[in-house]
Amino acid sequence: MNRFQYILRRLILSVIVLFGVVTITFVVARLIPSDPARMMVGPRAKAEQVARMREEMGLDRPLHEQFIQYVGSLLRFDFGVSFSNRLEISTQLKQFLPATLELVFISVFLAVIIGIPLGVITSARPNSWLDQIIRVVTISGVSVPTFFLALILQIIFFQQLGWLPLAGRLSRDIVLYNPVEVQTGFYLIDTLITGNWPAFGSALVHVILPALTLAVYPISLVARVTRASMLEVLSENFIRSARASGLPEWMILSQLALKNAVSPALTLVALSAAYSITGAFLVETVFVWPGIGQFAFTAVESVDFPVILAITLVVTISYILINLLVDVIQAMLDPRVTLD
Amino acid sequence: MASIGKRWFGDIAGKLEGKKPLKFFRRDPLAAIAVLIILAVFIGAIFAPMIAPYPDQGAGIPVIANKFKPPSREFLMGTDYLGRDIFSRILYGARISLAMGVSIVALGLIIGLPLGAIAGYFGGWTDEFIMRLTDVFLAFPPLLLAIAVSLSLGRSFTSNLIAISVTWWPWYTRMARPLALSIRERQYIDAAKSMGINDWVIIIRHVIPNIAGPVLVEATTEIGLAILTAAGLSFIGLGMPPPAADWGEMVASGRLYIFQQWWFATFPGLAILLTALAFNLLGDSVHEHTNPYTSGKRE
Repeated sequence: MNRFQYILRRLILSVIVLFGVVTITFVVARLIPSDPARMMVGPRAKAEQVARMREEMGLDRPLHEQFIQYVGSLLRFDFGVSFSNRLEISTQLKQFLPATLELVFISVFLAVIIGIPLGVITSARPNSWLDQIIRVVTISGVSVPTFFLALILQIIFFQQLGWLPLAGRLSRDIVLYNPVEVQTGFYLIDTLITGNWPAFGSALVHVILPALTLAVYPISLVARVTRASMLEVLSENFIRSARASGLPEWMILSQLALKNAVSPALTLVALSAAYSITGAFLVETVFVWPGIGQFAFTAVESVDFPVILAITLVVTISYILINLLVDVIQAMLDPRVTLD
Repeated sequence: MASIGKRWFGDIAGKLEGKKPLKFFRRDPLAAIAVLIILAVFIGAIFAPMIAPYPDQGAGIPVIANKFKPPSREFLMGTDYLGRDIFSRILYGARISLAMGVSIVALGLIIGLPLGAIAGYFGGWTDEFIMRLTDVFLAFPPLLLAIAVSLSLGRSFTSNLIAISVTWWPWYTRMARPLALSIRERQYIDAAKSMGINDWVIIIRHVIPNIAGPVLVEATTEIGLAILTAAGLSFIGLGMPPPAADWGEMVASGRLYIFQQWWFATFPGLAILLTALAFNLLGDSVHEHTNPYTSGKRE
């Protein structure tokens, strides 16, 4: 299979998966709740109101027509309106998305700069005491419930040490006296470009705990994957000849081996970026971070079904696209990918 | 999010066969500790009514007079906002958590394993169809789809089980398929075919029993991930309805009192962490043991 055939195949597969995902959400949205129209108008509505709503939502039409209508509105980024406040879901999503992306980007960055070196260090001497310690730490990192870790960090850094704020994105006096001019929605960037230093400082100290909590899982995973893939590369012949020709070990590890071993780790980083949005769900709840996770949490509390489905779709579709992008980039860069 | 964890595992394809468990634990004391913790959790769950100092409180009966007692000899882990002994609640919660984790993995196996066997055995379009189906379900972040499904099914054990299993089974299909592919080439399958035995009979009697072992080992170590996912769902408020003792829900309600009555959220949180950690450590050891790049150095 050559490179272009491979990319073409990946593209077609992604379209099929996208179609499947949309179909499943349609099924969950329309078929599982016994009566979506009743959910929309509320429990105390009269029968005629329910009937009117059913007509309005197109629920009286045949299923295949409903499906086409559903796909059509998705293509226009129309996710309908929220049950609880009747606002367009897509506008609300746009409003909440930057805060979540800010957390996700920082945690992915941490995963790369901490996770990869950890993996390299542990692969240098497998089964040494250092390897064993990092092993327990990283496995704990994938075993700790995100929401529990968030609470523990709050106890340590807010209650005991008093170093970092408890929750939120900015402190109250900043909101009053140095309000952030929202341009990108990423407060760290917005405050930088407008030179609003007090707000920048406040945004920075507020982002540390949530970003760290969110990062623990990807850091641990990336460290484990880097270690596994380094061990594989280190057993190959070209490493043996490099050792035989007297190249220093740190150079073999950081230059030769890492270059060949890093690609699965980077794939994982990209995928965990998409998955982090789900992790953000729990983290944002604890840190009262006004992102998609908060939005979803309030939606769960008010049984706001369309909002949950819209978020599920947005996250899933971005996961599929990131996945596709990573595969295409890898096929361009790494000739080994297209071989199988 | 939990399920990317499975990717670093890959196929272990029966490499465990013929290795002696005792030797395995001596060389890897962490795995032995993990097994001990898992055993302890199982014993605690099974015998909860006998072990718990206050079984009725474990089951949910409030004693308001004992509200927020700190850990003491009387209440090992303190009491919650309804005066219930947290240690007893955790023991009862272990029943729910373990039952949930085991059921998710079991249901995933029941659906996923045969599909993988069918995909690998028949190949061609059947294979293509089944594998694309797994792609679709794996594209969903497990927690999000679980939230959507359990929101519409309501709060119950079955609802949570279905909600999480929806994204769980494809992993076992992916694991089983390559194993089935290799079994298909064996002579005894050829022999069975030449005798005119029906393909489905071959799959049920020969393919599935021969690939079940490694998939089962893998699946067992994933009970921890399943428990974590379920805890997330229950933390959000979609777990078992009260007064059931559900670890995730206990952390969620204890969270409001975390700075004054720290024990309320901390002990259930530790229970989830320890249980998940034990299963994940065991899983990691199994993989380390079957990994040719590390196990060779140990032997």
